[in-house]
Amino acid sequence: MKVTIKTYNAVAYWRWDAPSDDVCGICRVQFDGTCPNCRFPGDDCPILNGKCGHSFHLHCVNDWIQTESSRGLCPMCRQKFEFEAE
Amino acid sequence: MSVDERKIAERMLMLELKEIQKENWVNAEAQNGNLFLWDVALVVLNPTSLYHGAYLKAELKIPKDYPMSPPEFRFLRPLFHPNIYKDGKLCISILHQPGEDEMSGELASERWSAAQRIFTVLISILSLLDDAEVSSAANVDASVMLRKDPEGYKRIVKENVETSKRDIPAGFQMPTSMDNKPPPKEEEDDDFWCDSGDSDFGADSDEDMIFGRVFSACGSRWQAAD
Ligand SMILES: [Zn+2]
Ligand SMILES: [Zn+2]
Ligand SMILES: [Zn+2]
Repeated sequence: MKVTIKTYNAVAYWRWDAPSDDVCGICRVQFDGTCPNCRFPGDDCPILNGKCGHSFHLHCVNDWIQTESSRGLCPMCRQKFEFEAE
Repeated sequence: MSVDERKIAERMLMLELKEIQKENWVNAEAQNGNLFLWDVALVVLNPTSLYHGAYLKAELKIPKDYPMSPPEFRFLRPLFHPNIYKDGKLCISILHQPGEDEMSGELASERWSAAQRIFTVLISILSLLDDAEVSSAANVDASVMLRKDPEGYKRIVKENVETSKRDIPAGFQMPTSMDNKPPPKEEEDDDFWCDSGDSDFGADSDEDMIFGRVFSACGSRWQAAD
């Protein structure tokens, strides 16, 4: 069988610098993708790296921190959630 | 930022339900396709459990802002157990908001958090059955009896187990052992938004930490009168 390529679409590939098997501890989506509330990966859905070693989508951890019951603690290790300022 | 929490919840619940449906110790279904209301049955397979052979039907109500808030769990047939209320609700700290009843003495680490899952809740409930917390009783009669008349307590539990078997659906094959898992059901859904995201569900170390531990305590502490 002979195939002639008439046209093709280039597809750009984008990813975070985070290991691809890392998932957000809240929504369980890989950091390659956005949180479930966002559509496109990129700066609009950044990742926060907590000083405790746990990382989350900003949107996910923000929703958690906004709840009164979170008391500002990391949902994984229950230490105060503080993140590295970029 | 306006956040449609329901969108997170629906997508997560769809994945969690699929994962849970692979387990042989639980039957779970969304009630009429409503992901926020599940019909659940815990199947006690552990042969050393007092509840061995029980088929415990329950209802799980999941809040729209899940996983920010915990689900509500209720056994449909109440069980005679120190930590189960007469209406079938449970007194177990993993189902409590971390901010509730400060005086109960529960550790914040045992409470609900956005990193908890329905899977871990169901496992905690199963382990609570044989590992009652008598010092924080939801059913004082059961708590007293467990301590003073363990044989009588066992008899009532056995009756509860027998009654629960009436709920076994026709055609349901009771699995014979914990390790005897049925083959995974179909579940590939190629263009689903995040196949990859659920690949380690139920298998990471944070969940192992919780696995098998009992989280139980109520706001209303009860002191033995004797
Ligand atoms: Zn996330
Ligand atoms: Zn986002
Ligand atoms: Zn942490």
